[in-house]
Amino acid sequence: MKWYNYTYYTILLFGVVIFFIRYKYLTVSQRYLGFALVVIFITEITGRIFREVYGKNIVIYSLLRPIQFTLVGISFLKEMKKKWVMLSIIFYFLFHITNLLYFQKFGDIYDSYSVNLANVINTVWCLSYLYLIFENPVADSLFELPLFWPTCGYLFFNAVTMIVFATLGYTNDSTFNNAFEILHLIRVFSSHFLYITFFMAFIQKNK
Amino acid sequence: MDSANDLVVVVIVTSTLAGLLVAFIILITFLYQKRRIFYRQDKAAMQAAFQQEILQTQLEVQNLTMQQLGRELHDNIGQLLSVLRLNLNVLEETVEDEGTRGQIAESNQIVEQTIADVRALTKSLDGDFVKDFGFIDSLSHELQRIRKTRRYQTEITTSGTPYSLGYQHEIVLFRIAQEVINNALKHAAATTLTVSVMYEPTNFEITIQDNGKGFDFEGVMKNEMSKSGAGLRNIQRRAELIGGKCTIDSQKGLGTTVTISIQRTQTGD
Repeated sequence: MKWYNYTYYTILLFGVVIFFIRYKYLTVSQRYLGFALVVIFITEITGRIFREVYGKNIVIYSLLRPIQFTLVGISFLKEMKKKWVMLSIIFYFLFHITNLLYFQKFGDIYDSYSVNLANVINTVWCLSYLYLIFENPVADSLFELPLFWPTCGYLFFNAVTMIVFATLGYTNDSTFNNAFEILHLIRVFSSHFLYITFFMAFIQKNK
Repeated sequence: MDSANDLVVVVIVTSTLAGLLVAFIILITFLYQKRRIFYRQDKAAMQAAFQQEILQTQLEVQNLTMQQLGRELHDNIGQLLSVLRLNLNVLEETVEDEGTRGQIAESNQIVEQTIADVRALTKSLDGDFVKDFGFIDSLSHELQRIRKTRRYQTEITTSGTPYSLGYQHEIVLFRIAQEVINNALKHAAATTLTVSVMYEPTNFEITIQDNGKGFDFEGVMKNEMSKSGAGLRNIQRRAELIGGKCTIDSQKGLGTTVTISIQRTQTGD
C-alpha cells in the first residue's frame, strides 16, 4: 500500500472522529454530511480489505457509493430545501440500478457511467447552493455557512475527476499505464483536499 | 516511476491542487463580498425608497385630514358662529336694559374674534392656501395667527428674491415649519419665535429659532423609543423626502434652532 493511502485513511478517520466529537454543534445538513463521511470511510476500508483479500473491490463501491451520494444529497436538500434535489437522488438511483443490470454489469466492470452521473448531479447541487448564497448574500462570511467548505471541495474534486476521466479516455494502450499513475495521484490528492473541506465544515463556527 | 521522481510528482501535484483549491476559495469569497456589498446597497436603496413612500403617503393623509378639518371648521363651526353672531345682533337691538346690552355686545365681540380665529385656523390647515398664496405668505399668516394670541412674539425675515420651490416642496416645508413652531410652543414653552428665510440662487434655507427651554438633542436622538426623538426624526425624514437637509441645534436653557436647507436643483422649481 502506497504512503498516500495512509494519509488518505488518516484524514478520513480524523474527519469521522471530529464529526462525532462536534456532533451536537453541527447543523442538520452537516450531520448528514458527517454520516456520508462515515459511509465513505467504511467504503474505503472495506474496499481496501476486499482488494487485499479478493483482489477486487468494485462490488463494494457499487453498493456503498449510492448511500454516500444519498446522504450528501440530503445534506444539500436540508440546506436548499428544493424538491428537485430529492428527484435527482431518485433519478440517480434508477440510473445506477439500470446501469448495473444492463450496461456496466454489477461486479464485472467499474460503473463509470454512474460515477460520472453522480459527479454531474453533485456539481449541480454545489453550483445551485452557491447560486442561492449569491442570490441572498446575508451571511457576513462564507465560512460560517454550513456547506460552503464541502461545496468548494466537491466542485474542485468533481472538476479534477472529470478531467482525469476524460484524459484517461483519450490515452491509448501504450500511454495508459504512465498516464494512469499520474492521473490517479491527482485524483487521490484532490480527494485528500475534499475530505479536508469536510473536516473544515465540522470545526467551523456556524451562524 | 522511481521514488525520487515519485516524490517530485507528489509535491508538484499536491502543491498545484492546493494552490488551485485556495485560489478557487479566494475567488469565490471575493465575488461573494462584492455581491454582498451590492446587495446591501440595493437593500438600503429599497428601504429608503420604501420609507419615502410611507412618508409621502403619511404626508398626503395628513394634508387631506387637515384640509378636511379646515373645511369642517369653515363650513360647520364657522357657519354656526355666524348665525350666533346674527342672533346676538338681533338680541342686542331688542334688549332695552343697558347692562344686558353691554354684555351681549361683549359676547358679540368674542364671537367675532372666534370667527376670525376659526378662519385663520382654517387657512392654516388648508394646504391649498400654500398653493394659492405661496410659502412666505402662508408662513407669515401662521405666525400672525400665533402672535394674535398675544402670548407670543413672532418675527419673519426674508432675504434674497423669493422663488417658488414647487407645491410639493412648499407644502412639506410648511408642514414641517408648523410642527417645529408647534413643538416650540407646546414643549419648549417658548415666547419668541424668529423665522428667517433665505432665497439664494442655488440654495434655499429656512431657520426657525425659539427662546424656549431647549433640550439635549444628542440624548433625545440616541433614545430610539423616545417620542420626541421620533418626532424630530420624522421632521428630518420629511426634509430628506424633499431632498433637504435638516439640522437641529439645541441646548438646555438656550432654545432651539431648526434649519432646513435645500439645493435649488433638488426643488420642484
